Amino acid sequence: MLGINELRRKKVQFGLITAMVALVVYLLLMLNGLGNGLHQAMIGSVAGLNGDLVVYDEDANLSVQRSEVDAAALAAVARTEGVAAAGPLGHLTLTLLPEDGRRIDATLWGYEPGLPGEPDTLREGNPLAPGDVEHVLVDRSLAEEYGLRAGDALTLRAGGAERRVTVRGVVSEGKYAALPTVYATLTLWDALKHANVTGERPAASVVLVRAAEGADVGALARRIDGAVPGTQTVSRDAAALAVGGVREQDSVVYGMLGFTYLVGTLIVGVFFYVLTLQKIGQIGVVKAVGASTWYVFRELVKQVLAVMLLGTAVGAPLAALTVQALRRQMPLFDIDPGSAVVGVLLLAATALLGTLFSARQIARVDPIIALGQVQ
Amino acid sequence: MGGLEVRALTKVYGSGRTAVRAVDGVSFRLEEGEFAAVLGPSGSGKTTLLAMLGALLQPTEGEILLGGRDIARLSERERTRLRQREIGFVFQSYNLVSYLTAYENVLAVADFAGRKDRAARERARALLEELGLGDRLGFLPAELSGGERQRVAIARALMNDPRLVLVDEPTASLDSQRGRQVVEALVAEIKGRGKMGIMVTHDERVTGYADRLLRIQDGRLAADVPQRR
Repeated sequence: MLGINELRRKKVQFGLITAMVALVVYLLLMLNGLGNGLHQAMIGSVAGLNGDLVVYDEDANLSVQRSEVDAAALAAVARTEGVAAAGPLGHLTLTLLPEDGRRIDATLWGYEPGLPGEPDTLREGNPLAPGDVEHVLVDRSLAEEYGLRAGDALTLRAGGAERRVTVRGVVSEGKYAALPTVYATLTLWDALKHANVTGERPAASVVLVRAAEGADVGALARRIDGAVPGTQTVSRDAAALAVGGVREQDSVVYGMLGFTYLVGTLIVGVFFYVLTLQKIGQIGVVKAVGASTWYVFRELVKQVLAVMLLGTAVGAPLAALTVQALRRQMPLFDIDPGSAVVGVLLLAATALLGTLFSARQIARVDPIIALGQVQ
Repeated sequence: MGGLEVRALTKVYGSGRTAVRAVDGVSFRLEEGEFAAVLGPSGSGKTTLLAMLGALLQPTEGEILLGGRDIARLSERERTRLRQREIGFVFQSYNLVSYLTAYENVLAVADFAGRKDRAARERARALLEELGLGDRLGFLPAELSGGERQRVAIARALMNDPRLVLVDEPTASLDSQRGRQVVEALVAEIKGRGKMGIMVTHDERVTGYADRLLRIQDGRLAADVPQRR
């Protein structure tokens, strides 16, 4: 009764703190959007790969760009006990030239249709047939940001090689290293990647493995490394995090998020602390006429929750609108609803933690002060 | 059984040679429906006495029997509960909660005890109407006159239907006419409900309303004079 009425009758003070909370929530959600967007842009296509393990060339240091796997190793991986299927996967950075004259830097993944590595999230068009060198699939960023559709003609340019192809379908996979991705058959990848190479050439960049049902994936990775010399095998998630710069990028974003929580906690905590100090006399009176410390503290918690709720109600829609507006020019912003909700709840929790300063003050108020000077 | 019995009540501040006996062996008895005025110069210990009677301060020695129960030695939680249910306070400078209306200030007392039900809301309204504040229910303290604020404080003190109402210098911030009106209203409310009242004051003009005069000097009860009204 005390808390909410105070809030209603001190509109300016509580309006200001609510505005502050709204801004902190806004900042929090924008950082969430940026962090999530950047993260997805870096690793989306690896995290979405259709397989449990990624086998690299041991010297590649978990870099897809540097990794080269030969046909013998590919066959040896496929034969290893516990491997349900193994598919070669070729990586290539190239330039896309659509009909309208634009140039788009992109990543190309070459896979063997029917084997692990084939994208399984086709949302428009048809899959590729084995050996098809005239069609590709494009990811959703190429569809959404560049307007490519099934049936569009496209030239792929890599090194000295050029191929004219047609888009056959759109998949829901994400970007890789902040570049949009196209998916082609391993045959087309080989033709582009090794256009000027004569003689022996690698069979793929990495091997993607699907583990047998119920197999221990960690043990399987060790078994593959033991059975096939010169390989390093990691889980798909570990492979995603090994993409250059992802960890650094994530830690910067997490650092900023951490500071946002700290600032939010301090703002709310200090505001209510100062307010409590201003009210010492009044708290003494209400305690004298029967309010317990717990009662007074509960009213404070109600105020904090109300301010957090109102602040979120203002800040969250603002952030959502901003992201919506920015997505056209800066598709990097992508709020993840799950982690956004967790983030806002965490902010509320830390704000409540900040009220503990005030709780101590409230507990220390001696109701005798209501009588003025006693002795 | 229902009255207030104070036995050898003593409060000592400090210890050893610097010890001060603020209240020194005070004993008296008050019956239900009785209203006593405590008089004394400043520093005589009358506010300390009031604080002990109101369970705001632990006595050093002695007993306070309120309705047969000794309230001199209670835990902090028990004292809060006692003030919530058995004791009403009217302070020197009204001390209303500034952001609550007159009505809410009175109702808050029921909320402290977790009993903000329909009966409590009606009681708060009735008390304020009785005290002539029926048209001031929604006013904030800043919008009320000094006398009105003190009457809100009286309604608040009676809200929890206490046995004992303690009043600290009720006329300190009022001119003499308003002061008399407030004390009149106070006495009417307290005695009309068969409650006990103790008013600390040094304002001789309002002592005429009391049944008893307790004169305090240097912490001791110097005189206990019944008055005819």
